[in-house]
Amino acid sequence: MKLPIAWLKKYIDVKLSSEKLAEKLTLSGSKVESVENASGDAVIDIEITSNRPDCLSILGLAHEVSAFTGNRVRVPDAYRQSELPARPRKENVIDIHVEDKKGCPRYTGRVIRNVTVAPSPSEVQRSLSSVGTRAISNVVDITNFVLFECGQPMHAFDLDKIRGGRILVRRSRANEKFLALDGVEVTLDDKTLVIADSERVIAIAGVIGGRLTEVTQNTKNVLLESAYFDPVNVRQAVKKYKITTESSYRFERGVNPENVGRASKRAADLMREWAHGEDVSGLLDKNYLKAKSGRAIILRAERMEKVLGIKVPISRAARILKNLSFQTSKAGKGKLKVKPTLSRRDVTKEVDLMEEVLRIEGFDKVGLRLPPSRYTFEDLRDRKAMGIFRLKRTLASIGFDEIMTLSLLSGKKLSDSGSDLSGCHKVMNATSAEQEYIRPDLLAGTLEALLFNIHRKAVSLKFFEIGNRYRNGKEETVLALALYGPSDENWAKRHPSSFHDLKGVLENVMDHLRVHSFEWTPASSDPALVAGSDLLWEGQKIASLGEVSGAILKRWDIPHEVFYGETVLDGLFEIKREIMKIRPVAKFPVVRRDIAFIIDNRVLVKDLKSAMRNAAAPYLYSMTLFDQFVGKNIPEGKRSLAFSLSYQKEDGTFTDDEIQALQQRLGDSLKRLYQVEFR
Amino acid sequence: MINALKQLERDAQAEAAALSDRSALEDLKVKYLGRKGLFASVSAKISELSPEEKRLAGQEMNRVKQLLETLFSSKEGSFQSSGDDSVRKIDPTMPGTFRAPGNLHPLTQVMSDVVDIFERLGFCLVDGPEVETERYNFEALNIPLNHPARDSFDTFYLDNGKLLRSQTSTVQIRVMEKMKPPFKIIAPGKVFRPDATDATHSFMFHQIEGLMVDEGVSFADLKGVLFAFAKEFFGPKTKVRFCPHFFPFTEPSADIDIWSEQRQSWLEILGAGLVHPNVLEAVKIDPERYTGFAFGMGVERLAMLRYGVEDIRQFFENDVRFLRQF
Repeated sequence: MKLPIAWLKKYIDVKLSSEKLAEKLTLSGSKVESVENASGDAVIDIEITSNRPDCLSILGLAHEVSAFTGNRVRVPDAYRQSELPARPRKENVIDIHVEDKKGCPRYTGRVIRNVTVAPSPSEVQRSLSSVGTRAISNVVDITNFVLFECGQPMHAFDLDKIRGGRILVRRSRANEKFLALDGVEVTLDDKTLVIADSERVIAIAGVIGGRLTEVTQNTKNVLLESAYFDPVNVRQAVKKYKITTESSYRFERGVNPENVGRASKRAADLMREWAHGEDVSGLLDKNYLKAKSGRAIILRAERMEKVLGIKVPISRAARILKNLSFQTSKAGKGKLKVKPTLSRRDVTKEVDLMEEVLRIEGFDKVGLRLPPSRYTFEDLRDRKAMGIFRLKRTLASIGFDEIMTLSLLSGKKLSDSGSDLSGCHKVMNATSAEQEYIRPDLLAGTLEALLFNIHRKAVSLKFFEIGNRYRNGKEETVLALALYGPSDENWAKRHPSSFHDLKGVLENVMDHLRVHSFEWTPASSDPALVAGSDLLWEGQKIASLGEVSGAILKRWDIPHEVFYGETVLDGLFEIKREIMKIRPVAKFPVVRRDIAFIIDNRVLVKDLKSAMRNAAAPYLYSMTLFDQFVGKNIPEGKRSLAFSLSYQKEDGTFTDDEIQALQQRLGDSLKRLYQVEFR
Repeated sequence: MINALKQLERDAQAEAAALSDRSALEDLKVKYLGRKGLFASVSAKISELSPEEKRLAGQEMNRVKQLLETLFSSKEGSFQSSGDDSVRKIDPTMPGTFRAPGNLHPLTQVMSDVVDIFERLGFCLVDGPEVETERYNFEALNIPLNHPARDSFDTFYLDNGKLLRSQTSTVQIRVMEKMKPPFKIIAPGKVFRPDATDATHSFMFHQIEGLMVDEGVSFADLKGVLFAFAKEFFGPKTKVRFCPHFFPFTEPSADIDIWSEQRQSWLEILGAGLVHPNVLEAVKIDPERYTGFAFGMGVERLAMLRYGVEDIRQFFENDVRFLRQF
């Protein structure tokens, strides 16, 4: 809302500079966004929050200024008293009928005859342009002037263009056509509140008038509309037809129903003054509003001190509220009875009054206090939320850069990444194709981030992201890991990335989380990944790792292999653990032996290890794979594996014979079970 | 043969004493102990001896061999400890080869720092889902359907009737439904609004929500906590002001600004207020007995102010030349 200082000064004396005034307004709750000083007329631009429609007018803001300056507001006479409704007369030539009394609880019309349509006085034109509205003609400008002056939207119809001498406030019929003032033809639905004559729709109630009854240079007689439309109805029409006007903006937020007739009177006065028009009908008032006197609220000084943390004497509170146009009366010791006006229907509770008092008293008057901490035995902390911060630090310290990708993506990116769209959820009101789906996994976002950097000459990337995915109605927090290019590269060594690098990272993560009882499957279940594996924990698949398939890389135009894995983190932070007890460190020396053999590729290391462990139990306490060799001298379909074995006895030293026997047993077992061939 | 061994011992000692560097030592080792070295050629003659002589010569061979090995290895040790430059020359200005660490995303760093400050003030870190319902995002927060207050919270809806939360205040309701006061919580998280994307708007961004509910919590407590936060986060000399504002779920509500010397203007950094009685009633907490305050802040905005980032989109582009600066 633009507040031109020159216009404001018509209603209240202001001695403050525009900058000082702007600061005072901000500190009392009318947030100033800018002060413009173009052509010497200062205009203060204020953000009016949705609870304060009363401030969407110059007079409303004058009352705010009055509250902190103490200066009186000079309200034009027309607004001071209610006019009695006129009796219907023949010469009115207009019959007003409200069909939907819920959508339109009050509708007033006024017939103005013999107007002289001409440009407005230049001062009025300047005023309107300073609030951002174009001057059109005196008749139209009057409706806009009154809107900005008091906040009540008005409309002027060319009376002679209204057919059948009838105004009907009703719901639209499906597919009914309406030509709006801006020349756009609107096809209406079956529930829009409209103003119609006997034949057609001539306005969308509270939103916009129609071209067919527009006031023009040739207009002689005018029907002046001032009404109260139900905010919800107006809002639905605004959303439905995507039309927002100064009128709809105010109706949506709720205008003061008491102002409806008064604003009409004010406009009639101006019609006479600026356009020589004659009010021949008086106020044709269809008023179905229930005579609601606002509920009285009790303000307790003691409670106010407790809630605000500042002592404001009740007499002072009363004065502040009175300056804000509330009716107040004493209600016993330290208590005040307050009745809000109809313009302040946002004030319904005691705490609302406290805010009114405090914002005028000044938020800066409240001191600073640190609340005492009360110890609670119940631990509120979210283990996952805390654990994620720690996990992120661990991943960064082992060389991964954290990325954050957008959670909404186009269907194309998802299908390019091999995601199955059938489990994905669509965004119903996306504003672009890039917001079509909520991500069912983090792969597409990760590939996009890789590609962005590959295009900028990156050769080696290690990324992680921790975030939520959503598919089949289920939200899960996952860790995405990606390796691109060499995982270790410097002048001394160069190591290309592999599945096992990624596996090693995830094992680090599991170790960090103290999750130990997990196993790897021989292949990944994720169709986007080849040469990979799933991680099972307590029988559940929690991760899939592998190499991103060539088809996907080709679609994304990514030149080298990407190793990718996604792990569900839910549940991993909440495992309840008993306090561990240490094992004594062995007193006797470890005996180390190496073993190397050629074996069929299809036999898994996991199975070899368990065969060895079983054969040399309970003395074999570690088996470390230290070499795999394929190629020269190794038959097709086979590989050579070498393990380093460590034997340990709790109660003594091994003799050579004992070790020999263990090695023998172990070797025999491997030969029997897997036909290994020792080297 | 025994004499020959003794001679060999004397020669070796003399030559070893004259050694000057490590490569000469290697040569000397080969000369005496190599496969075709002097020791091997002398020892080979053992086959020509009688059994008795063989026994004595064998003992002598062992003795001399051990002596030579000890001699050479002690010599080797002396070269090592005195540090022979000609062998141990390195270029210490070549880059280190231990793998470099990665970086935390700047938004994570800001969230972590903010959470740390509030944890010191006794707040507990909590979390909530991103896919939410009308109740948590609006209704329980005193934002009725068809109310213009919803304009500030434009929201994405999904095909299954759920929505993407447009504010982290949802976590307030989730916590208050489960817990009885007193509590103090801090909840960072992702939020979504269908805004057109530009340098200062993104349809996805992050907020941090805070909430305290207890008996006797007042506006002075809210001010105390947020002043403490602003000074911790932005520096002890930070100027802070509270301006009245409107949020449906707090009353009184405030915008909190800090003064920017650089821009010579107030910058909005936080929204806050006392928890609205309607919100407490929605979760069956007696608003006469308990009061509380809540606040929320935009993480991207804090990060932009702190690091001088001009374009919000940089946070989600994941350009490593940007990320690795943090």
